Parts: sequence; C-alpha cells; structure tokens
Amino acid sequence: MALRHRYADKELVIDAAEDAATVRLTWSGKSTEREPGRFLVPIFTDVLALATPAGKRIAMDFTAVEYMNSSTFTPIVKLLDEARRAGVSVLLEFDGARKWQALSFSALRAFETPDGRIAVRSR
Amino acid sequence: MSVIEVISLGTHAVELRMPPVWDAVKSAWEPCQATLRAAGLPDDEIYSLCMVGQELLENAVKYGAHTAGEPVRFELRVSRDDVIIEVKNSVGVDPVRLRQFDRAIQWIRGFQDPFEAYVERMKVVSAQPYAQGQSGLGLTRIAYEGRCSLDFYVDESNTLAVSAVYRR
Repeated sequence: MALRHRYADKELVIDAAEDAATVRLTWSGKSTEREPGRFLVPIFTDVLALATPAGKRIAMDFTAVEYMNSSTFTPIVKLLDEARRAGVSVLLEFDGARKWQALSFSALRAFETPDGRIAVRSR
Repeated sequence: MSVIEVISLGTHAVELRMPPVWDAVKSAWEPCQATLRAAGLPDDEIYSLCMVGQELLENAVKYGAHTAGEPVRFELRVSRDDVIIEVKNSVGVDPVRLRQFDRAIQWIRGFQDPFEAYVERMKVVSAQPYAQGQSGLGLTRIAYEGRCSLDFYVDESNTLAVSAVYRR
C-alpha cells in the first residue's frame, strides 16, 4: 500500500505521498520549534527506509513554507548527507520568486552532486 | 501563552520585553514587521529583518542564563541609513560560552562573502552527529540572508547585547 500521510507539529505540516518512482514530502506552514529535529528526523528516517530499498527518489516541496528557523536546516542538510551516502536521489524544490527561499535554498545547492542525484531546484 | 511588552519608541523604533521562553519569540514578528512597514521598507527587507530578529531572540532564549522575572529585551531602530536590531539578555558568568560566541562572530567576519560562511557552516553541520539545538547556523544566516553585520558587548552586570546592523 502506497504511503499517504499528514504529519503535523504546531504550525508545520508535511504531507507525505508515494508513487511508483517518488516519495514526496510537501511542506507548508512555519517551522519555528526549538528542536525541529525531534519532529523531522523520525519522518526522514522513515522516508529514507522506504525509498532506499525501492530505489525511489525523495522529493521535498518547500514552496508553500512561510518561514523556517535556522535550526530547521540542520535535519535537512543531514538528510542530504545521509541520502548521498546511501545512494538515494533527493530533489528539493523551492519558490524562487520568494526572496528568502531563493537565498536559503541557493545555499543548499552546495550539496548538489554532479550526477544530479542530489538536486535543488526553483519552481 | 507568552506575553510580551511592546514599547513604542516613536514611528520608526520599538522595544519589546519578553519572558525568556521559546513561545514568546514568534510574538516579536508582528511588532517588528509593523515598525519596519511604518518606516517604508520593502516587503523582502521587512521579511529578512524579522528573520534576523527571530534568530537573535532564539539565541538569547537558548543560551541565556536567566533569573526569575528578568526579560529578554529587543530593540529595533530604523534610520535613514540603517536598521539596528539589538537583543539583550543575561548570560551569567560563563566565559566559555562568551568565548565561543566571540569566535563565532570572528569566524563569520573572516569570510569576504557571508554566503561562503553560511555554506561552510551547513557543510560542517551536515557532517556532525546530530546535536539538538546547536547548529550555529543562526548567526551565519543573519549575516548572509539578513545582510547584517554582527557585533556584541557584555556589560558589568553580565548582560550580553548582540546587535545586527543592516545598511540600507
């Protein structure tokens, strides 16, 4: 049975959905918690465990996020590092028309791999 | 529910006093936004400066050594040439923490482009074991995304004042 689940923690919502090739996490709301990893790391662990053996790509859509504190980027960059080492493809999508997203996610391009396995793209 | 005290310092300045608790931090966004909007700043700059305020307040709540009833103080001042955001909180007498803070500021200043500092910090964080609440990304984000220069001092009562200055 394909994954379809809504994770919510205060003002942050992550909708997870799965198809034949991709596990997609669609973010919305605000991430302002002191330790966002307590909410995010278990989700990322589950998604990596699902995507790795199935050879699926993880796609994370941040275009509807209104605000993320800096602590939120820690679990995200660690996911990118773990996915790279596990050979899992990850695509991060952001809204390039929103300046804060363009700045924040441009910095994450440092984690892109030449083979496109880890990619950060503006939508 | 965290109550913050909003003290208007005129059209283009505001002071906030808030309890040193996490849920109070986001309450600063609205008065910060209103003051910057009244001063005529464009929306993108308002957003990034509100972010700067949030990151400074988060650090104050995380790392301060607060005594009962002592608020975190936030001040935002807009002038023709710059915007100054200053956050003050007690830091007790922990010289190790202050040295770490000083090193973090000096490390950021060592980069010609704060983007490089931010990317470098992210790379360090990605390679470290997960440590709850100690990413160190907040200050570099203030320098990079907020385009602010950072400074700080500690007064005789061990109050740390951290300021972010944005040149308009």
